[in-house]
Amino acid sequence: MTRDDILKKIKPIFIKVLEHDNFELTYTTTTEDVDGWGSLTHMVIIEEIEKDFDINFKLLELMGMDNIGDLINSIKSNLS
Amino acid sequence: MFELTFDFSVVSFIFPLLAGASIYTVPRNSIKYFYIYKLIQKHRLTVLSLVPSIIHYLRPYFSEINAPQVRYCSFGGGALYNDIVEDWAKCIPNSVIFNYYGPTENTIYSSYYKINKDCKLNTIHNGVISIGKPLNNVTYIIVDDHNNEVADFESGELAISGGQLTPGYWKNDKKNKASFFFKKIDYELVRFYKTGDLCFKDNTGNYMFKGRIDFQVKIRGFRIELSEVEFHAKTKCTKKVNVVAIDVFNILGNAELALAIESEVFDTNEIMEYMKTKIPDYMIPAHIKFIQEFPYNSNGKIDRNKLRTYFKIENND
Repeated sequence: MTRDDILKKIKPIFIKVLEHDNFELTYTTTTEDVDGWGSLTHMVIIEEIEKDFDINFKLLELMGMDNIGDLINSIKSNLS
Repeated sequence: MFELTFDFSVVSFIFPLLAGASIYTVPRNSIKYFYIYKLIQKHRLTVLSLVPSIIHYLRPYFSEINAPQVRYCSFGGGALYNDIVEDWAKCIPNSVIFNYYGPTENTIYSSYYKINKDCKLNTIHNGVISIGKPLNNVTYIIVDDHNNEVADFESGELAISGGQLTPGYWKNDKKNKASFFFKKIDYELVRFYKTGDLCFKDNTGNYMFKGRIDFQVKIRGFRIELSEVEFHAKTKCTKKVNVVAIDVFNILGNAELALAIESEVFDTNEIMEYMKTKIPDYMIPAHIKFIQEFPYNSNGKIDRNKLRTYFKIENND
């Protein structure tokens, strides 16, 4: 799965959790760019991604995520 | 990590400054649960001041957390459960852990309980750790509806007096009259603040927090302590999740008991069957709702009013 494929697959998860689609997801998107993406919703997004991709993030990975690009890199490395 | 409008924030920056220590803060837009651990690891933090919800969200990752340099860890701002502290203590094996209590009206800390290395020795009630004994120059009494003191082990409202007590709410006579009262203690008239917290004192002088007075609800004429319902639900719940009992109102205006569970949907039959063996019928929740993420207020406490909005009760059957 390419980084672009992962990006396409995670967007609906964000929409479902945040309950709106008024945002663009790019590799450089951060919590500041998306309404409602905060500490609590992030935990739910992570849980949903883990379920959807059947992966389990490590705490170290989660600590190092600063933007969507980092999130996608972690998903990709967990899938391989 | 606390809003500056929350009095706990004052302790968070004054304590370290008085000791000549560094303070590390959590940026507003960060994912605070992970950022806190990042700070602990990167800067080898030795003193932590947390609210219980932080360790609740870090709990799935406890097996990856090891911070032997932490010497002191204090909690405040909400009920602290013994089972999660027992697990958290393994992440900070060299730390002393304290549970602090203190309403803003008696700024900042009013009492504390030092948690035992062996958590099984902790003084707890319904799984919640004691709020300990009052600090020097702080007086606690437990009172009934008429501000009369009640006996040890008897539940009532915790009232506090002492030098830390606020002169009152700004231009709010009505609230001041409802919240403060005078009482003769050793021939001296002492001003007390009614905390709204339902507590009792045990025979060792430790105070136990049972919940908010307004978390006592009447269902079918019976007075129920919601924390007790939560305790029995959590006891049988194999998943380590937040469980909150609340009263919700049906279209006829009658209160019904509801249970909010912060989780994906799972089968609750076993929990309900267990509860029926432990508590009376009127304490069994009539409604259960799974909520992915509980709403919190700015003080890091679960927002029960918002939780109520998740329940739409169509009838009272």
